[in-house]
Amino acid sequence: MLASREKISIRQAVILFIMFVYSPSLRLYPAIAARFGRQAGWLTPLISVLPFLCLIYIMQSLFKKNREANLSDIIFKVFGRIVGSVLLFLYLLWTMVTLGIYVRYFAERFLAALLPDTPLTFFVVTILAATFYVLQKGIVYISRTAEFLFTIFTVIFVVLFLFIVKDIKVINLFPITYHDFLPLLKSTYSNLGLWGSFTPIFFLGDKINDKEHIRRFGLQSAIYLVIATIMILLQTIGVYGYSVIERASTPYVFVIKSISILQTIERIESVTVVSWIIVDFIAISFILYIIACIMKSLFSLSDEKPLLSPIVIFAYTFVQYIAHSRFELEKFLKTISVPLSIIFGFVFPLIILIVGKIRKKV
Amino acid sequence: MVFFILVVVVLSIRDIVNMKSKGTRKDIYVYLVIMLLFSAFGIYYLLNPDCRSFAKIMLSLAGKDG
Repeated sequence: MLASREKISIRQAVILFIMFVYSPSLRLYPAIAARFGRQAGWLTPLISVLPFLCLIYIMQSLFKKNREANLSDIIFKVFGRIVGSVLLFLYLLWTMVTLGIYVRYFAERFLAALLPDTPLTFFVVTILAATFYVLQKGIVYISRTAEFLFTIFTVIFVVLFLFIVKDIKVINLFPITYHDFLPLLKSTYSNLGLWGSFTPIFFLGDKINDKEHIRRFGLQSAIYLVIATIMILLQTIGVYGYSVIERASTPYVFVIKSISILQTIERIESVTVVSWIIVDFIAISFILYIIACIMKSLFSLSDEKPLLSPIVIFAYTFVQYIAHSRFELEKFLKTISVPLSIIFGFVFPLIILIVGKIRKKV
Repeated sequence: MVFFILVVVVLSIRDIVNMKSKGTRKDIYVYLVIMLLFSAFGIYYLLNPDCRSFAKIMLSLAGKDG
């Protein structure tokens, strides 16, 4: 039983994180794993899970003595007000750019797959208005919805995988030799960028109960992510081979389109697109609320909810300003956003922990 | 543009009324500064939609513009 109705459990927070990485995992990861890892690309989650496990232990250590705090409080405690504010401001910028990327990709997906002649702003306004409306009630409602939908998505995901299994060709996944090890390391980089999103969930720290279970649920999420990511890669690289997948813009949808049940039921991709939209809705709500929480801590405010309006106003403009074309956006994502996500997701928490231990603050 | 400003004004009035009822004066000042800043950015962009994109600026700063 939760201590407060205004708080979420660590399990719900971890589910939010998994749903947050679900959409970019399908969009971004197969192409990069295929490009760098080639036929061995499907093994990359086994390598990228190692730094993720370290991150789980870092987070558990940070919150061991600070169970009621959030990550902002810990940053201030470890670095003091001035340096802490600078670091928090950098986190704020990073999360705002991430919000822009998520909303833009949400709109781009519609433009590319369903409604090519519709203005971009229509999708942007629709998703921002929906998230803004739902977030007025706080993060608890989104978390409970995510918890409920998570099971449905997992079932849909597994069923689609089972439909694809018969098309997976072993020749596309083998041979694997020791020569594949370095390319595999290279291909883990995008995965790490995504899994680094585990860190921002702790900006909601004061709204998360039972933080003593970070390790337990973190490890469960690691197992889930490794299995799910390997399944995504088997479905993509395994069916069409790395040379095709590395050139596809949305490899997962490309594969799902090929499903035909008893040669009568086709166009199953609509199920994927619908689930993708709902996942994006939860991911955008989640990052929007995190930005509000960071701002609240940075400016020492009493409530984060009024900040949602300026953030939505910012997002509306920034989504259009971030890139003129999808090509530019993808280049930005791969060249700048992913390395920054690794720094903010993995490197900074490690620095916070080391400095905190030296100064005996955590 | 008119629609954008209208939305900003309506949201601001709604939020400020809510914040006033809770008696948090500092929150209102910070809110106004942030809202003005983001609205100014919005108006600037809507007046110059063909300006260099954020991605392009960042890529050129990183030397990956080619």
